[in-house]
Amino acid sequence: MSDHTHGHTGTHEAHDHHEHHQSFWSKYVFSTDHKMISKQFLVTAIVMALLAMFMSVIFRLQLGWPDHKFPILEKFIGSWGKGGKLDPNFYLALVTIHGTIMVFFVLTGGLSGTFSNLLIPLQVGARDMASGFLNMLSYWFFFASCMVMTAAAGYARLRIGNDVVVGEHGLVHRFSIARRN
Amino acid sequence: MTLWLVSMVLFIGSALLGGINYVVTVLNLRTKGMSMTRLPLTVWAFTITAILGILSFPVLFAAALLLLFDRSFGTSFYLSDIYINGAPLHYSGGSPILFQHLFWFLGHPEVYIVLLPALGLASEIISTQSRKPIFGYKAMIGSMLVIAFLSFVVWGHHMFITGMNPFLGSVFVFTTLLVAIPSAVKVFNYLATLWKANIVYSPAILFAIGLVSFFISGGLTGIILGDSALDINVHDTYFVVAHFHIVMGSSAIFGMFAGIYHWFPRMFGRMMNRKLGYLHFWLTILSVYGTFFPMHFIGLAGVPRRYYANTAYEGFSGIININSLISVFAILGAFAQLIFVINFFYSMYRGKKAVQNPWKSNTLEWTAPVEHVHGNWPGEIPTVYRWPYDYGKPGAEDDFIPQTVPYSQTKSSNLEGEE
Ligand code: HEM
Ligand SMILES: [Cu+2]
Repeated sequence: MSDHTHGHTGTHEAHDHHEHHQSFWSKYVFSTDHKMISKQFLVTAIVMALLAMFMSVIFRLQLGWPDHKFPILEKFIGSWGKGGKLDPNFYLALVTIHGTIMVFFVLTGGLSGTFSNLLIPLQVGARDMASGFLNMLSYWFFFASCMVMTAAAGYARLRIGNDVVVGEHGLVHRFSIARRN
Repeated sequence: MTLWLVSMVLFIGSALLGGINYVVTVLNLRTKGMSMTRLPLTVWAFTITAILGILSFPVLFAAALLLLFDRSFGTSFYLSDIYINGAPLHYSGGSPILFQHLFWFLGHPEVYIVLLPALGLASEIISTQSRKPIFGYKAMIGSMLVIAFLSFVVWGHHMFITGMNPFLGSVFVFTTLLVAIPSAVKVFNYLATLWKANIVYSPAILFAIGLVSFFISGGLTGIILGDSALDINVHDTYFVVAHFHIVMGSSAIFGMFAGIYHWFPRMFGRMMNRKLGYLHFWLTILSVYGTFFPMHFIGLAGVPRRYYANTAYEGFSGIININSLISVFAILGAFAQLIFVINFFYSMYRGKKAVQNPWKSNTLEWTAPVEHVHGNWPGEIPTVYRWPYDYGKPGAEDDFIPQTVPYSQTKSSNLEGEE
């Protein structure tokens, strides 16, 4: 087949010539096609990488200017950055989650998930992975673990929010946030 | 922490499902003519990575599960004494060191799980854009296999100061320093491939060369850290943070960027913007070295890692300016990534349309149509007749000969034994 570009413009996704009726769900969500799964891994990894990078900026602010207050922190991270100071416990949670996301979610899941999926079948000359279904499951486990890890960051926040304010004025309010968990 | 463990358990599930699939596909679904020694180095790297993952992730799985038990169900795998209301329980024998052993038994292979795919991508890109065959194809495969094997017998280098028997420590020093040999082989091969090449510049090859640079500058500090007599001095300081961010974090991220710039047309049928790619590269390499290079010095000065602030110690008052400088570079680097993100999502929808084989590459993925179809090739799967690195072959008409071209069509450039 020569290099052609049919008139499917407007989307970056080429339509399959043989199956024109793919719904959003079967195409983007329950896809077992290795090319689509590789894109799912890549986009998820980019989002996680931005999150982890944002964390690193927050703790680099603390490390670079330990005596300075950054009131803007309160906007982003609320009670973690009370009065523009990063909470010390939360610093540790941030560093740990930053490292975990970068190593496992970006550079293990994201890197292998994207390129092994894209290139193995295409470069060895196979129609798809040995098991498209397991491949889809692999992405879904990955997505679920990303969500739980993000929740872990949020949970660290609620707990710390609670510890920090005990004995301070915001007690009742903070408590009600913490209890929700 | 419990959520962290749950997340890791799910993640390991994902890695195992993926890994088994990759290995089986490579072993069983190769097209006609695609022998193992005609596989591109990317595929070799992914396969070895998957095997490493399959062998090491279950150990982390066990470690995480036992820790969950300890934390939630009152077991004592990692605790030697448990006190409840001031009275010790009768359990004994648990050890926190056990967790470290289990963790690092995964932990060290993990650094190669991160690095090998990036090295594989770099091999492919460096060869393609240098328009030269990769130097030492078999040596590349061999060194990856040796690295993979050694990565299972070096985990103790993370534990020199845990109270481990010093004799055992010296065994781990020995195995660790052995890793330098296959690593040096790989670096040499990259440099030899780039040597005197007419490099066709693209953001992808710049990132690939950046990877090689980090692999060298971060690898050198690895030799220091692998030596227990030296490591005891800098363990848990910023020296370590500098080392692993350069050799693992930044190398692998650069490999990933290289891969994205190179295979973006294959994934999305469009090209990424080159100028933004160059800008992204130069700002990123500047801020990576700006961030992590000074960390070596504050580490040597003794600044520990994982400390929220070092203001309590008189002796560290001198490092405060360095820390501010590092943060400036880190923030610059963060902004540079936004250039990438904009370029990525913009090009996905608005980028220039890609042609089928934009980098004049030999491998099979560029013989499939730009528009994705299920099953990858609309007709028959192509047959493979040669290895993937026939770039700039003397006597050939073109400076590349795709894997699908039989030797009978390239009489003028065939070497001895190639018919
Ligand atoms: C965006 C640029 C990055 C910056 C500015 C940055 C900065 C830092 C700093 C300063 C620490 C140590 C904090 C401390 O010990 O108190 C740290 C920890 C860590 N980072 Fe990064 N990092 C970046 C990207 C990455 C990447 C790409 C990786 C992937 C390998 C990574 C993996 C880790 C790990 C594993 C830790 C150790 C976590 C722990 O000690 O529990 N980082 N980072
Ligand atoms: Cu190690």
